[in-house]
Amino acid sequence: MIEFEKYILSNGLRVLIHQDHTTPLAAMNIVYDVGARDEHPDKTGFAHLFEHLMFEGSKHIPNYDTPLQLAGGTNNAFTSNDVTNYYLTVPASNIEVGFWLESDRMLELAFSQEKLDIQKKVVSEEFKQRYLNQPYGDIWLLARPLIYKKHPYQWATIGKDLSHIEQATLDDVKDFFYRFYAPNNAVLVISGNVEASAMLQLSEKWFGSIPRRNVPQRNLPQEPPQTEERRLRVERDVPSDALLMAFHMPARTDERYYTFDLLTDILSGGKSSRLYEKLVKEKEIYTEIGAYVMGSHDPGLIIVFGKLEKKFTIAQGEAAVWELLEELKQQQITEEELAKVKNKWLTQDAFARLSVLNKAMKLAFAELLGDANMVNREPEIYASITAEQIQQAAAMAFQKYNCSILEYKSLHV
Amino acid sequence: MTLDRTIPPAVQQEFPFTLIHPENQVIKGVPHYLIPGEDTDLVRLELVFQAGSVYESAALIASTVNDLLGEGTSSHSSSEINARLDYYGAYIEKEITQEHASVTLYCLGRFLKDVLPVFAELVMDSVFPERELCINLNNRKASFESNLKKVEFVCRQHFPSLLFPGHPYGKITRLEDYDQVTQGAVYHFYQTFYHAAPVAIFLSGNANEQTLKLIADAFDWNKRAIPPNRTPLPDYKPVHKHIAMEETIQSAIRIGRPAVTQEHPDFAVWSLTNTILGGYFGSRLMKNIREEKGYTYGIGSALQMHPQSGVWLIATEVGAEYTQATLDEINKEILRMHHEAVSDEEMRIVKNYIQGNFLKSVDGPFAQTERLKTIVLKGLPEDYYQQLMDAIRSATPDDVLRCMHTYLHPEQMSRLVVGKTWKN
Repeated sequence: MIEFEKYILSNGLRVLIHQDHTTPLAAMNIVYDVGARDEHPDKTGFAHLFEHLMFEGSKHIPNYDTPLQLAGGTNNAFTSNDVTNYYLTVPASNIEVGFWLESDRMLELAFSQEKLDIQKKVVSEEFKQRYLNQPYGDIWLLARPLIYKKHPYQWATIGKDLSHIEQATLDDVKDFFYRFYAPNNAVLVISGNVEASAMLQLSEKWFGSIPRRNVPQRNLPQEPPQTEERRLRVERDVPSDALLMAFHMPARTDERYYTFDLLTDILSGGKSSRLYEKLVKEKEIYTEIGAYVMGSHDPGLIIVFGKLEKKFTIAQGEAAVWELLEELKQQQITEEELAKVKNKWLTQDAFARLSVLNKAMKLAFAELLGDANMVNREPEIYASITAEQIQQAAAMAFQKYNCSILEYKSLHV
Repeated sequence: MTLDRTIPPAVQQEFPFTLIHPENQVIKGVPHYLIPGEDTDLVRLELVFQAGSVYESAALIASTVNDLLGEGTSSHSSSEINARLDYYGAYIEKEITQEHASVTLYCLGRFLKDVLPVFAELVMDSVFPERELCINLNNRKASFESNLKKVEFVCRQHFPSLLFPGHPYGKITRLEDYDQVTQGAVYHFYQTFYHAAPVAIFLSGNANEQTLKLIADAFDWNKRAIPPNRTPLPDYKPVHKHIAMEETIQSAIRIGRPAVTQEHPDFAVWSLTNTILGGYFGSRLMKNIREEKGYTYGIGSALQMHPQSGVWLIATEVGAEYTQATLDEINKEILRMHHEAVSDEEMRIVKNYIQGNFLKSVDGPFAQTERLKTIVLKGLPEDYYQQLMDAIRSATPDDVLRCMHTYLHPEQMSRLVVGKTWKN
């Protein structure tokens, strides 16, 4: 149970507070309801570039990091296709510094051409480091446009290519800020060794006067159901062939999400999972293989990704995966296997509750999706999932017409 | 009243922390440590053996043994063991350093009784079946081959060989090494180093004195640990090297030298100096090379510890066209710290940052265990971290200058660049 109190300020900011008196720390997490999916198709990578600029000083505070370091704090942020998330941890007695810093950059950024130019360079280097100068690094740059034909999930958070980042202007930056960075488009969570009433007062003090802004209603093109298999082959300078298979599945807010989550645990949770046991250990077709769900806010994906043993072709590898997926559709999962994935989930959940920052993040994301209390309902939801439901989920997802396949061929095999 | 947002809230600059140092209980010749934590359902059990890579007679033996523990025992197959562990939602984590190898079990407290016999069996009775060994080596080789395409990996792998040529700390793993590992060597290493009593056992989380007894009963050790055998360190001479990977668009850079270890009186000041130069987001290297020049996504420096020597190093990946410019700027930042005393303001920021970060690193029973482990395994005094934080708090700008002059001359640095050939 993660207990919390929830308030909504008059400007629309949702504030959640979780008290944990076993730690000397406090964490603050602010999630903004804006991600790469909200970008214009010709200006991709922008939500992430903007996240960098959020650390370049705000209206009254020239430098974000220094005062926080002085308070003994650490911080970071990340951007996904759905959201932009900022977080910090400080010794609990210094939590007000977090309020001061975060409220000022929600109020107004210190925009400057020079800072924009530098962060464009930094993000270009990040693009190279993560996507271009790595073996298999461009897999998601290739897979997204194959999987999504209409929905903006067709580009990665880093952007379609470097030129979009290079072309970003200061006007783009300002426009983005006033469209999306607003109290009524964010969730603030404070957790740790704090008193709820004091936190509410500080929230009012620092965030209460920030004006509500006109945040455009999100109206994204939804992805039409896929009707036939899609396939892309590329050749790259990598040592082994790799295969990615993507299947559409329901959104994070759909009640079936949890069933799909357990379905991928059956496939790839631990060394006794089916993909590892059959395809790595028994048949030795793959040197590594795994499956997971992408918990996207709009309808998401099940991903199966593996690297092939050199003796086998991608076609053989794919056939082996299909055989295993068919078996899952045809034969009922045993009670023992079901109990196993549920026990695995319980352990993971206990890990996720270890730190105040993790708890704050869990609450913030659940609240953004509609209800923070979902974090406390999850144990009962997972416990109630049946073998039949998992089998139905498998039958729904694992169809050729619902599958996109990326054949990533090595030049050397 | 309007709010003046230019004035920061008052900040508390004391960062008191509590470190638990439980009495060790020697059972069957092994010191056991218990750090209970009532707020988690998870229990963590770690066995640390003196079985690190310096003890192997041929490449990869120590890591292979560690990785393959539990992939087959004299009474159960690898599949049976994994099925059992997974059924109870248990996780096994394995780790290997130069000196030690550890096996850690995480599971929910209510399942410990069921999981413990399996865990004890994999620790004491692994048999390393030939087929399991082949699959393991083959798959690790594939992953290694892929890593050899990464400038950062190649740089990380080769850099220690510049500092410790001919010494186990400077050993470089090669792709062919994966074909040379034999079952005989693996089993021999296992018998020698894992059948000997572990250096220590750490239990934490959802556990108490009774749990500790349960655990002590589950294991038997028939040998004492062998006293460590140390190869003398080679004399250090700085070396500059370039490993060409012409097709890459970023280059990896490492610059550094051997360093003192934690016991040394200069460790605290070196640690502070390191943080100022490259040890946090607000560091000088980060401010200059990322935030002013935009040459990189990140640059940092760190102190790493082995029993016989530390290593101090700067590491980054930069756009290939910025290689020389980055080397020049690193040099400038090092020299600036030789010539100008650090301001009181910067000293204060860094000291607070270190202390706040330390507080975070001892939050909860598992984090406390990590600190306790360092104290126990390195044989440091119980109040080591109190002393360290006190020394950092009382260090002066002159101490930093002295550290720079004693240890951190550019001429004392070795340098490795992995990537495109560049123009000076």
